[in-house]
Amino acid sequence: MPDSSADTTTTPSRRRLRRELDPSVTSRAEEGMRAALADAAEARLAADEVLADPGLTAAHRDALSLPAAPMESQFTRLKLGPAFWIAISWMGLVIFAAIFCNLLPLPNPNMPNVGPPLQAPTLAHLFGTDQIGDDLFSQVVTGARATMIIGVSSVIVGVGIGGLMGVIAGFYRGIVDVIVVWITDVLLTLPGLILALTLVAFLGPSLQNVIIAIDVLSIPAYARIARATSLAISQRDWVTTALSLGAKPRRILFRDVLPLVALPIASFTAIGASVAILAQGALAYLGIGPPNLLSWGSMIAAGQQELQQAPQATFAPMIVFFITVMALNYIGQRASGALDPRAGLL
Amino acid sequence: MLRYIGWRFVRMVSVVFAVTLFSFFLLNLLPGSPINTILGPGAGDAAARRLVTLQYGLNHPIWDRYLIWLGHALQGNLGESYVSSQNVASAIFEHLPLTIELMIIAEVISLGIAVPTAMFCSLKPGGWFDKMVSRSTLALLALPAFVLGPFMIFIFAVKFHIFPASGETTWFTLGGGYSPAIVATPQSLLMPSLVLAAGQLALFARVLRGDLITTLKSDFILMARSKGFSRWYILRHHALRPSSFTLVSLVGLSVGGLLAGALIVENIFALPGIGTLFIASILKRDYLMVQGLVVLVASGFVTVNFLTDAFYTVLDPRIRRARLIG
Repeated sequence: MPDSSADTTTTPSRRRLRRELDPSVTSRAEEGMRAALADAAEARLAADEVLADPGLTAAHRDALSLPAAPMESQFTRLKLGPAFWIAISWMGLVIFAAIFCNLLPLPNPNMPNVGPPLQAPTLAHLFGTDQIGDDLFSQVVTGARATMIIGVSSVIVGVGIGGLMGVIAGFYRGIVDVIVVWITDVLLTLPGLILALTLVAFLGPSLQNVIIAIDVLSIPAYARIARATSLAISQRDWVTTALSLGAKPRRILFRDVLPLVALPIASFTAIGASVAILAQGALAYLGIGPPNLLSWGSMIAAGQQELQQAPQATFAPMIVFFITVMALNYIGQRASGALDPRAGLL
Repeated sequence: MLRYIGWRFVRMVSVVFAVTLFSFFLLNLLPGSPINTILGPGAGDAAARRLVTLQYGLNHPIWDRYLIWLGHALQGNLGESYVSSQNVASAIFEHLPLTIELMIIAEVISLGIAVPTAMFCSLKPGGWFDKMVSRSTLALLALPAFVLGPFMIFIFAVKFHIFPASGETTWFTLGGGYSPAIVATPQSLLMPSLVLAAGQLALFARVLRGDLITTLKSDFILMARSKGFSRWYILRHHALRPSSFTLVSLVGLSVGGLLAGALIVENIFALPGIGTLFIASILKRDYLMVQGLVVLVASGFVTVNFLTDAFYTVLDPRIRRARLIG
């Protein structure tokens, strides 16, 4: 197996790259940064060659995967397309609904008979009404809150705990790494949904416990990505150089490695949030969770009982849920594709 | 290679051990007496309390109790449900075949659709068919079972009456033994399997397409082209095999996703599998049943993953070093 990170000593292409970047270097720090940039650019060239090998498998790619090059070279060629901004606006709308659903001039979502029952969508009731005359539009708007609470908290916990764990494990390696990998292994032992169901079943069906359960199961994915990236970065020449110059490992970790790990993690947050929202939807659909909390999953389950008479009661939350998850997946896909073209597969 | 498999085995055993510990302490360390938890709604009965105390040795220290419980569990004795007075292990094995059947059918469907689709896509990457597939798989990934399921019930059962909306058929106890549902009542299993297959299908098609396109860029494909083979022939005879490694490992890893999916699908279509048993037990607060299911599912899942990994290592020698590093 060819090693991509090794042998980045003086080859013609590296010298060329350095000349191109800027020959008039002033301070040592600046020189170091430019060298790092050149290293990264060249490592990417080498990596592209290696990754073009047809025999590579996912495990190889994982072992070889390089982080995105430093920001400077990245943000100049971000092209996201109009669909990306449509997805972003949709998420903005959902977040707006989640924050302000109580203040909006809508009928009380929990009050029956605000309109005639089983009514198809009209101007007064945008999504129609269900069997007991609940206004479906205001229910869907209110349901956004549960969804966004889960999505946001899973990102915070995933990045804060999972990401940090992974970065530290990949940077220091040794026993810390073994422990972190083992913890993620244990968390991944059970299929995520079953772990969440079990936790909620034993802890009790409150919103707080649903949040805890879903946050716990979102940790390993972030930890793995952060670990793989930080492992690859901390094997670069410039880390060794910094260490030999006398920089403390902690300083290198926080000042040099962390910002580079932040990019792939940031591009994963959209996908991570969509996974968490899917899990919450499944829990709510199965009726495991706070019984009085209005959420899209529980609305689908309730609407299914009257699929014949009032299909809008199922379809309204279904379509909104679908668009939200699709928007998040698309944002994640474009973001990671823009940051690292090779990872744009999924 | 043996060293790698051995290392995986040690990790597998330690993880299973951690899961048993986790599920045991979930039941025993929660606020309130485990008696209340075990007995659930019937906790008031003094005789039952005494019986539970004796049966679970609740007068012993917790580590002794754990070892005793582990010993029983290793012998296949997961206790007896106090809600339904059913033996937990036998209840699980009664419901297991349907879930496995559902998972196998879904896997066959998703591979049967994903592989040819990916091959057609890679014939002309960026063409109209490829673009259409890429968009629809993206949409499929955003359609979880509990969205797709009700939607398909609406279309095929409510509107057109093609399939039954639920699988409540009599086949399950036919003659006291298990008879495969797909033979007895194929239409009651087809819709659930399709819903279950949807997510996997999208994932498989995307991954295989990517790998095929990478393979098709290599020199030996150019060589085959220059010999005059048709594109489709090259795709089938030269490119498919070296592109399928990721897919093979993904199929092994998909067991977990399928299991979670089966759990939802069974509940949507009211099929009597592991998933319905699990949810019903949670709702009935039948904690011993939940505990037994968690231990069993986790052990089975970890074993399947280990076997896939070991098998894969034997198949592809190049993987050994990469995985040892990673």
